[in-house]
Amino acid sequence: MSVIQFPKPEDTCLSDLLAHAGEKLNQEAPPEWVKLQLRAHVARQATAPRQLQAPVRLGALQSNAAGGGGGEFNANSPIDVKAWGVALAVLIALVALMIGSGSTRLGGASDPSAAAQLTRDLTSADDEFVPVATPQRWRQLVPRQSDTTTDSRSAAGTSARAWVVAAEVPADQLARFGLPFDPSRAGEPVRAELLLHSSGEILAVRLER
Amino acid sequence: MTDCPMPDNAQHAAMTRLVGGDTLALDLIYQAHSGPVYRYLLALCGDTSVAADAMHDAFVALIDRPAGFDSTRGTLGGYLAGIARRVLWARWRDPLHQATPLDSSDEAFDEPMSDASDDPMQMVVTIQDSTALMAALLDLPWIFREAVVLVDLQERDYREAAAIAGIPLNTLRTRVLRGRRRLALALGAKHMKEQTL
Repeated sequence: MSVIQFPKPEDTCLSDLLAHAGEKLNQEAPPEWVKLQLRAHVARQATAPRQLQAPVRLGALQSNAAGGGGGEFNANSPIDVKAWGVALAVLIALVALMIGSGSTRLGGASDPSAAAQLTRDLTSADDEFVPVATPQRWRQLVPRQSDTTTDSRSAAGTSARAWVVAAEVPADQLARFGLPFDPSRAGEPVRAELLLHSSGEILAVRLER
Repeated sequence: MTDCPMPDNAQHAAMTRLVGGDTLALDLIYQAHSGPVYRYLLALCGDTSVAADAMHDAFVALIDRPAGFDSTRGTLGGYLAGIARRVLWARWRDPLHQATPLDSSDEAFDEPMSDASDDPMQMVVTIQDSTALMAALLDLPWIFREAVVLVDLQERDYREAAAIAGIPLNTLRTRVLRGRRRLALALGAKHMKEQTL
């Protein structure tokens, strides 16, 4: 019978012990999920960096939606890191809203004629965004220039900012926005771009084809 | 998964491709640096899930803001480890470790009673189990633990270790020495190992 010889405690000095612990530590590897999540993150970044880095002035968009014309997304705005952070935080809140209480306003259902008008106006600018907030809500969130001339804060544009954020939305959630979806594919995610107001409210949705 | 070190030019090319959204470039960078960064975090916190989360966030920070890495100021691995330690610290809520903030002064810690002439690396310890060593390591104040992990467990170059810890080279050397001494005493070190001629 073989006898296992354990080394005597006195045989070990700290350097040996550290070396042994270092070797043991070297056998540790990060879990696979980290790599998979990072790959997904890179893929998302590749498809949506422009939108995330381009805050949108809603004043111009509202003019467009109201038929005033002339409004466009300002895709050439300088990168606003702070705004980006806010947009991501808002996105998290948005997902919780969509999955949770359903408190997101759904404009299309409550005022179909006005929403249809907004849809036509927005899509006519090649943006293909479908408004999901009611016209009343639009006016609250995006005051017109003529309504805010005495409001220095609005004049500075701080209360009328929004971001286009890429997201994956469960197909069955499209109904909440008043958008058509295929019930047989209700559980599948749909890639979409969401126009988010700085308050966290979804103003419009554009589905990726 | 085995670590796969990258030469500087390959690293630069991979970073460029990563900015363009190339997931293969991410794989290269990940394969080269995830292991050391993860093990560094794991040795610091002793928790695999916390270490994985912090490493994930560090890589996300690199992907989101690749321009933050300046190759003239250090290695990519060191840069990632530096971000990761900040992430780890930010999310770590263990009161034991909160007691020693990242920017703690070395003078805030008393020197344990021992013969300062002893080389702690040659001190004989009575505990040989590496698990016990890791436990003793986790009981060290953060600044000493980090120094020992970087230099003794990961065998990183002193300059890189100092860059990761964000401290001057001499401060790192002092912390390594003091960390070893504390570790040896915690493990029941009694005397210097006799040197054979």
